[in-house]
Amino acid sequence: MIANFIDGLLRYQFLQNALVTSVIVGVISGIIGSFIILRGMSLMGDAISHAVLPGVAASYILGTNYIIGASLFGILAALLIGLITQKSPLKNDTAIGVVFSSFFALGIILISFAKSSTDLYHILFGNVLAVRESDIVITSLVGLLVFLFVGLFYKELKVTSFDPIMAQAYGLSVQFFHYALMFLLTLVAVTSLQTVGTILVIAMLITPAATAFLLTNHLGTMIALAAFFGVISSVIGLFFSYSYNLASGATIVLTAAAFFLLAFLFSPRKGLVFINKQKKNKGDVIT
Amino acid sequence: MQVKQALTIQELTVQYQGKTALAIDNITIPAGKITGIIGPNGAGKSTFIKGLLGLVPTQKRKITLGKTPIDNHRRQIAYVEQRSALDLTFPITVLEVVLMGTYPNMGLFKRPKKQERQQALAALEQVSMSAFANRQIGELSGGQLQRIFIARVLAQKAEVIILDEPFVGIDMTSEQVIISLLKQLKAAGKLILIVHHDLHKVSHYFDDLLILKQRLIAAGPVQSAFTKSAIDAAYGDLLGDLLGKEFSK
Repeated sequence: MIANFIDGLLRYQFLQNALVTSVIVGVISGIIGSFIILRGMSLMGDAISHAVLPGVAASYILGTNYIIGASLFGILAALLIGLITQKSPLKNDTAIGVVFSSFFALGIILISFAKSSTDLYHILFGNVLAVRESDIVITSLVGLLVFLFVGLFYKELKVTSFDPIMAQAYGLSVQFFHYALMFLLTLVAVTSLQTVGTILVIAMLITPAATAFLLTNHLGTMIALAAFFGVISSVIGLFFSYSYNLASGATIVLTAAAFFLLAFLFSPRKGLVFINKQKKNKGDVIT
Repeated sequence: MQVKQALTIQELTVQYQGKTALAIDNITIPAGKITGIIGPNGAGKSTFIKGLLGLVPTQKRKITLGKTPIDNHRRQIAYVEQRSALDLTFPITVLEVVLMGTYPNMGLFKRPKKQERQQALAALEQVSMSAFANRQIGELSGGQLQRIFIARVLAQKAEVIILDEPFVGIDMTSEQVIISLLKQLKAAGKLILIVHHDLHKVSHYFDDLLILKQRLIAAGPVQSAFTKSAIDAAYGDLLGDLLGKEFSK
């Protein structure tokens, strides 16, 4: 079976494209996802990844590249959520719920105008085997942007994530980093759309990052581990998708979930098994 | 010795939903002194600090450090907020938190190098927390954590130090470590401003005092400002009576 996969890789361009895309998407969603979960913005990540749908549909209708339309709607959703949170007494999660479901609904209607229902299926659940070469260029550019941004502003991202009040007190624009991260989140959501589809983008953003979070106490290590889990989940998922003809989104996400489960149970510092043992040991001392 | 600069609040007004939470004018806070801010719950103590730093929307805000607006000096201001909002599960070690103190003076795109690390290690040493350098911050007690934030202030080498309720819920050792460091910083001419709610140790901690209750009730050296009439005005008569023996006159 693995031999068959490797053989396919050597032979078929589409499978090579899929692999390259999976690797890049795995890395960047791990990196951005780490900041998303540390800032408690998982729900926001979910919202934006759903909110790009009308942009994708509009791009299909207009025949333009989907990344532009999708980014536009992603940013619009982030701004609207910010606006509703600031200008009404509603809480952030409520604003998120209202905005993203509306955008998603709009997207469904636009898609039914645009093309056949197979496209909808691919957008919703991902079809990494259908990635075109022009998509790879875009994915790589997004990847480069993520690396540049996080590389250049690592220190600022760290302090605005951990202690935004301190950051603000010494003159950093916390708002700028929030919206910059939202912008990157949108781009990452759009690129992951190819591998896992809109509905499951959130899994690529948070599951590898959550796995990494359980394994380390250093931000740098966490980001590296999240990228690592993102990549191997993507590649293993791609393998199962190709071998059994399954939706790539589902196989990738389930692989990531399997790694999460392992970390949840067996992480040396924060794993369930270990924590229970610690408690037991403490109990022994008392009695 | 460098001439240290006083903080002058010409005016500061903060309103929440149309209600005035704080209206202050004409206060000067001197450098080289530890100034306490006291007042009952809801008096606007934290609001005063946040308004001062521009962290909350203000209606009027005219504040200078020396001769120039305070906002030109942000990098020289260290602020430790009430120990509450921070995520203690964050993947960050004690040393890395202290290292953040060096960020304000580092500029964009730069990363902490050896010099900054040494600065942070020295600060940790000063609060007697070197042994904890590589611990995750969630493993510390409240007092230890507060010492870490004081170390971060030291690493920043700030001229203005603002602490919001630093002594709440901390152990005796930590309190002593912090107090003795603050006295050293004061001797070095720093401007130190501390929000405080416990009236009993006022004359022990502070040189100067601001007593607030939405507006300024009293200000000046503790000996002259910490009076029964001022406390009565801020807290009501009952507390003033109970505390009778604490006052200087």
